[in-house]
Amino acid sequence: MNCKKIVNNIWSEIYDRSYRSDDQTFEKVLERAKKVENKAHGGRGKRKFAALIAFAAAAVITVSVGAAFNFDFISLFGMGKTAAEKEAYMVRDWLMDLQKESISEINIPNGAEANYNYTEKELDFIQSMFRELDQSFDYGDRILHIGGYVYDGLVLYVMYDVTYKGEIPDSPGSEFRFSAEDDSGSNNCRPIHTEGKTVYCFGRTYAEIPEDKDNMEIMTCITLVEGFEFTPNEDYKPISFNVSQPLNTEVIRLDEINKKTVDNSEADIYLKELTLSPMGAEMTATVNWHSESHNETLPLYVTYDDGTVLDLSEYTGNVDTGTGVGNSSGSFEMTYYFGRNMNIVYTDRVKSIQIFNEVIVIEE
Amino acid sequence: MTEDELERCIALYRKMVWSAALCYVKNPADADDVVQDVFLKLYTYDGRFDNDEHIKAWLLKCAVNRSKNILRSHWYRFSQPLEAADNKEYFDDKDSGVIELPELFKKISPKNRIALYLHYIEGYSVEETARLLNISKSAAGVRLMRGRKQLEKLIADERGNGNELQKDC
Repeated sequence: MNCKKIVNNIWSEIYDRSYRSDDQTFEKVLERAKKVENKAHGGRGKRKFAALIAFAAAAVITVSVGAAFNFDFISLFGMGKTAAEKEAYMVRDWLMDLQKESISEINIPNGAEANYNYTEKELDFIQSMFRELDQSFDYGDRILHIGGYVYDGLVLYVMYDVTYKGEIPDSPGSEFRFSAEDDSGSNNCRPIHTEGKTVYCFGRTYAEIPEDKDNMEIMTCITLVEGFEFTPNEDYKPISFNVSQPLNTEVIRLDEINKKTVDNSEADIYLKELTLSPMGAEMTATVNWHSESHNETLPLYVTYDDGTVLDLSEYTGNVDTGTGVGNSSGSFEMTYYFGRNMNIVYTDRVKSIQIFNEVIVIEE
Repeated sequence: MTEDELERCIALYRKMVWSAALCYVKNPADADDVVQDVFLKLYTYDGRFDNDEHIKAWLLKCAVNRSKNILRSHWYRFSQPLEAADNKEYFDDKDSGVIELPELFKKISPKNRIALYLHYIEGYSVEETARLLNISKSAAGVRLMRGRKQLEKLIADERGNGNELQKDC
């Protein structure tokens, strides 16, 4: 037995476990391609991909408002404190529910224990990135009010409420669909709270992850299927800056970051760009490498204006080393993504970045 | 691309694209979505391909990129806590219920998994693997080496004899 054989054996066990056959895939691709074509000829024009976000309307959650409540979603819904707290509580509960649902779909075998890993902290990002919109649209029998949205560059969350002039339908809120890039993956929305004839809803998109520049239009254009379009105000701007001098610094190996084991290998890193967002940071750098592991390295500390040092080594999991592009001069470019695991970097408070001994001050 | 050509490509490469996606997303449904996205992109692609090998490489690269993007989605991470927390990965099998992924597959890290897949299953050289993954040749070599080491260790653990594996890999 050799490695090739072992690998072959492993893959032979999982081959063709796909849910869809060739024929089904073929049909689905053609179906989606037709939607693309229809949309391209339909006037809205810009998008290559038609999109239809399916809302999974579900029962309204009734939750008592607990005393131990750390969210501050007041601005999120632009409501009074009590109501906002209720909403926030329910949003969190809804997300917890989604988690349970996704776990239940996995068919946990007897004896296995489900592990729910939502925490309040992990959901903080919704609040930190929330942008108010406060726009209302009258559709005759109901009024749609969009309170705000959160868009992290990958997933769009929309907070909206619908006030019905007549009876509240069986699936309130689900008549509004948010058109994204394409209809792959699932999308979800849920009424979370009802007050009188107003149903408060929280929706999110999924699988609209932009692959190319065209697809980035999702960032500035959200389309409701009923024909309304709006462009959110992009008041959030990431911090970007350039450093032309080599940092000549020490780096940490990404694959050991969870163990907090520092590999003191040295490399000349020319930082080209470092972009911080509330979701973390993305860094592009040129590295004069002398070791094969230098495309798996990471800066470690962010310092806030009040002197607080954010230790990025606490950011466990989901660290993407990005890509390294080699060239003949012995250097390569790389992109790091880090801190995207629901840990928040408050960009407006960041005054410097420290990569081991090298401190980079961010200019105002 | 015509419908006939698309059908032919799906017949030829669907499993390959799906397998490559599964190296990253670890979930057959998401891998299916990647397959669909990739072939839709192929169908609507205006460029020209020199030959089937060109198409194959293009599809693999698309699958890798698409899968990586999915991994970066917050929602993706939100929605798979069981795998993330417990390292449990399952297939929901339509006929027989739950099928657990092979232990060895689960325990190899995704980056190494895809490198092993491209090199050993699809037969790409280290250089070609590097190009497909958009990494340097040395990085591809490292991933393959790590993947092999992981395999060695895992199999050695299973057998309770570390020395025997040295010969295998």
